Formats: sequence, C-alpha cells, structure tokens
Amino acid sequence: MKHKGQLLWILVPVLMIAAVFLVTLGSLLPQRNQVAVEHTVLYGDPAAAEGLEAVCRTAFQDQLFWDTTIRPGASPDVETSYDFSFKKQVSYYAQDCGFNMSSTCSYDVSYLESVGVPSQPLEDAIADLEAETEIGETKSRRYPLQQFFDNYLIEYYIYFPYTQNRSLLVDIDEAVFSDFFRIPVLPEEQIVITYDKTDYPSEVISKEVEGGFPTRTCSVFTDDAIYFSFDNVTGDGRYVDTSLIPGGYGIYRLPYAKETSSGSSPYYTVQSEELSNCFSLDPTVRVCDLRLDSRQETLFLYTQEGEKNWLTLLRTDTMEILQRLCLSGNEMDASPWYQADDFFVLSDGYELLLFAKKEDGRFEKQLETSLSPSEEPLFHLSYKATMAWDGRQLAITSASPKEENEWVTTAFILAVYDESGLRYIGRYDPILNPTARPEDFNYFCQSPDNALPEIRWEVKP
Amino acid sequence: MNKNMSVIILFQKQALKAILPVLAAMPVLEGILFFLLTGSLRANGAFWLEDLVEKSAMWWVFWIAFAATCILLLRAASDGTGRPSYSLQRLAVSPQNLFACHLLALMVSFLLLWAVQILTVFLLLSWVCSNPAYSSFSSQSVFLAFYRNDFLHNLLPMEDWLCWLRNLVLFFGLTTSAAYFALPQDESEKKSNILFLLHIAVLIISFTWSLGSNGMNALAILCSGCCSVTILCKIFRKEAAQ
Repeated sequence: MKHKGQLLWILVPVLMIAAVFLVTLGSLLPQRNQVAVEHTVLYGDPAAAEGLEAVCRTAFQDQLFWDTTIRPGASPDVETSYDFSFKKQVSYYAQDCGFNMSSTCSYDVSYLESVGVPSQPLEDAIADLEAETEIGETKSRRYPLQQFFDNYLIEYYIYFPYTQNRSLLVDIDEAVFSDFFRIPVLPEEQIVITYDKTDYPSEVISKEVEGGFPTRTCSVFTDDAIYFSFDNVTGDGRYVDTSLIPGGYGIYRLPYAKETSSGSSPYYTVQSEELSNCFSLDPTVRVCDLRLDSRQETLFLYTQEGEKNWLTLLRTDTMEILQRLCLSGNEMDASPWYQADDFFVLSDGYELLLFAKKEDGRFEKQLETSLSPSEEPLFHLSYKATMAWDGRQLAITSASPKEENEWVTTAFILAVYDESGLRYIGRYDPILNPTARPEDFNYFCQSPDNALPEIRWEVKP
Repeated sequence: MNKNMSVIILFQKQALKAILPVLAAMPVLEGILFFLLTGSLRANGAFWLEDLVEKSAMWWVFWIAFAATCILLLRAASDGTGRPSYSLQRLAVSPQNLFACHLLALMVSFLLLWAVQILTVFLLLSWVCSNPAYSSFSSQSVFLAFYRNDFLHNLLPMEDWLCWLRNLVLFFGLTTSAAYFALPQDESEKKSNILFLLHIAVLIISFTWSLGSNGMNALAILCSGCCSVTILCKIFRKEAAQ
C-alpha cells in the first residue's frame, strides 16, 4: 500500500501536466472561430438588408485566416470558418495588371539619346539659356515642344498576372510600339526650361511641359491577347493627332502567348509584331474605360462623345457591336463605379445609375437614385466597392473610414438602395483588433490585399 | 517494487521537493507584476494583452525560475560532491539505468514548470478579458494573444505543430544533457556538458522566434536531436563496453 502511495509522486505531476495542456487548449482552440461582429446602424432599417450575405476575409501574418459570413438584418447572424496554414500563404498587395503608356519622361539629354531621338536641339537650347542667365539669377524660357521632337515620347509597360497576386513586368520591343504609336506633338505644346545660376554649380533645375499628354490607358486581358486603348486628349483638353497610327484611334489588340510548365510561374511572350487596331473609333471620341466580362466574350467600352457618356458592347472574337447605350450626360463619371457581368453602376458622388442586363442580353437603366437622402452626405462610400443586385435592391460595401484610435480596420460600410433611395446603411466590424494603438504593426489582423467583403443576395426559393 | 521504479520515485521526490518553492513563487510573483501593471495600463486607457505580457516582465520571471529549476534539480540529484546520493548508491543500479530514471524525473519536472507557466498566464489573461472593467477585449483576445506574442506562442504553440515538436525535442535534449551532466564523469566526458548549457541558450533564444519561423524551428530540432542522439549513444556504448 505504501509502495502504491509512492507512485503518486509520479502520477500526480503527470496528470497535472496533462490536465493543464488539455484545459488550456480545450478552452483556447474553440475561440478560433468566435469572431464577434460589432454592428452600428448609421441610417434606416437594417431589415432592408435581410437576404444579403457578406463574406469578410481576414488574416494574421498570412497564417491564420478567417472567413466571416455576416447575414445582416434586424438581428445579424455571424458564422466564421477558420483555417491555420502551417506555411505562410504570402499575399502581396496586388499591383494592377495591364498595359500602360506613359509620356511623363524626364526630357534629359541622356534619355533622348537612349531612345534614339536627336538631343542636339535640346542641348543647344540649354546652352543658349545658360549664356543668357546672369550669375546670381534664375531664368526660365518657354520653347515649343516640337522644337525638340516630332512625336510624343511614350514609354510602354505591360504587367501580366503572376503568382500570388503579383504582377510581372514583361520585356517588350519598344521600337515596335514607338513606330506604331506615332502621335505628333501638338504645335501648342510648350516646355518651360529653368536655369539657375544662384548657386554653384549652375544647372537646369526644371523642364516642365505645360499641358502634356497624360496617355491615360485602359486595358483588359483575355487568355491570348491584351485589348487596350488610351485617352486621346492632352492635359489642357486638346485632341491629339492619331491619324499616323495604323488603323487610327480605337481599341488595339496585342496577342501574347502564355507558357506554364508544371509547378513553375507562368512565362509570357508578347507578339509585338501582331499589334493592330481591332476597332476603330472617331478621333473625337474619348475612351474612358474598357472592361471585360468573366467569360471573356464581351468587351464593355465606355466613351465620352460630346456631351454624353456612351457604352458600346462588343463581341471579343469578332468585335461586332452588340449594343450601343447612351448612359448619361458627362456630369456623371464615364467609368463605371462597379462592373459585374450582369450589371454596372455609374456615379458622380451624389447620384447613382444602375444598368442591368435583361433576359434578351441587352442592358437597360433599372435604378436611378441619390446616394444620400439629404443634400449633406451622411457618409462616404469610397471608389473601391463591391456590389450586389437582386433585380430590385442594390447592396454596396465599401471600406469604413477609420475611427478614432484605429490604425487598421477590417470594418466595412454596407448600404442598401432601391428605387425609393437609400433604405439602410450600417457599419460592420469583425473585432479582431482591439482599439488601442500599439507601436508594433505586426499585431494587426487585416484583410489580405485590403480586399472588401464579397456580397451576394441569397436566392429566394 | 521494481528497483528501477524505486529510483524513479526517489528522483521524482527529490526533484519535486527541490523545485516546489520555485513552482509556488513563480505564479505569485507573475501575478503581482501583472496586477500592478494592469492597474497602471488601465489608467492610461485601452491596452493590448500582448502589451501586458511584454511589459509585466513575465518572461524574465519564467527564465529566472527556469534557471533556478535547473540548478536545484542538478543539486538534488547528487550529494553535493558530484556523486549519486547515499540512497541511490544503496540501490546499486547501473549508471545507464540511473541515467534513464533521472531523465524521466527531470522531464516531468521541466514539463511541470512549463505547465505551471501556461496555467498562470492563461488564468491571468482570462481574468483580464472576463473582467467587465476592461471592455476592449473580444471573445478571441486570449486566443490571438497566443499567436501575436512570441513568448506566449512558443510557450503554447496552439496549431503550430512544428513549434510543438521543437519544444519537445529541445526539452528532451535539455533533460538528456542535464541527466548526463548529473552522472559521475571522467575528465574526457566533461566536455559534453557544454551541450547542457547550449540547450539552455537555444531554448531561451527559440522563445523569441515569431510565428512562422519554420526554418529556425527545423534547424533547432535537427541540432538538438543530434545532441540527444550523441549523448544516448555515449551512454549505451558505455553500457555495452561494461
């Protein structure tokens, strides 16, 4: 009996150790998916959001992931699925993939030489200005841009989708593009060169182009080609001459090949020599945006034509026009605030217009309402938003402005509209970060890539 | 009762009696520091649990308790001259069996210290979160604290199985080298005692690694595993030679 009692010296500590591990883990692990969501009604009746489902994704250090499904309504229902990844699921801030044209070059002598443009006229102008500038003086002089080069100097970049939301800058033959996009410098375009002799050594302190040609580019990727266009207007509102571009102004198609060997990152080859104009446009039309549906069958071309904003739907394979639709006057933003396959929304910050697809596949205006019920806006919905349309009501989520003491927030704003206007707006905050402000940024749980919640209306039986 | 079981119980009794004051003092001291800090942080407004753990110097108390445990356990195993105590000498077990029994007793003692630390911090954090005076905590705060704070995460690695494995391998390596340290050794064998000090150093350093340090964890497992195997080989080679 005494010997058995001696065994307690081993059994008791072992049982105590086991009990501590079991009790703590048993108490902590069930907390994994207990994401509490704080809900604040900002306007209206939350019952208007019934039937809606928002999935909010949050992560901590790319290893802990929460998908919190919020079903708003009079009494919001919250359900969270949790996942731990042993390996870091590295997410990078998604760089925009696309085709970019940039004419904001430095106008340096060395740059001109590198792109094969004679630099002597610019060197001469600088030498003259230097000679004219007295010691202790700063002098500026305006020169016609045409004096230095005939065509706008444009740089071209293509960022392809890569692994883990990263984009890949692909080398292209710039000469082919420069030869294709010959856009003569407008005679009104001027460059102001400033020479400074107040300090030693004396030097050119600025070369500023007035107006300039910003070449705002829009592009979409299909599986085998990039479709792109650019805004053909200079900074001071003049149309550039696009007549030297083969096929003129319009939508351009640039084929590419994608190779992916198993387990490795994709590799892209751009077929620059096959660059072509696939849809010509009148040179007085301004291209504002270009979008593609998820099945890559339809291109949405948003344009500004005179005083009106237009949408042209094109078949991607044949570029046949499927529909032309006058959207609004150009007080409204011509680029869509949100684009889905079956609806899109335009806004000017005060009003919203929703166009939805009918059964015959054509788009039609189905909702026009004020964003805010009063002249003074009640809230601010940011440009980055996700939306859902059920044929009667439009739900919008947008990142919530940070509240006092908040550094990072996973909170979002949810608004519901119907033909009568704003029905409900509320703030939802999946509380993963308490309100204090620690120095260490690593404490925060955040949405991967700052993504907004995905929302959808539940299909009613 | 089996002779070996008697040795284990003897070691266990000695070990527990030696470390009991440390096991009692550590949570008391941590609790006092914790309550003092909670009061002062509360006066400054909202705070994070991770701040509380870091600023309360809980980890300092733990490592001091750990060092004290190491010293007390090694002293308890001998009669002060580096030889086994009189009772052990009377039981006349082989040095290898003595090593194995001591290893088990040390393992239980270190695990007990580890468990007491986990229980202390768990109870203190749960108390703060359940206290209505501190409203800025959510139902997940304690769970998240065990991922956000490096010390807490290494103490209780939750779902990070590689960190669990690393802890187990390091604790096994530590107890193996400590048990070897406590054995009577000739001059040539004393060099291996550096492994005991190395294990202590690696254990302390590894508790500063953050979530996702998989490469470092794997390296620690490999090195500590090799050390333990080397010590075990030495012990059993000695047995074979005898």
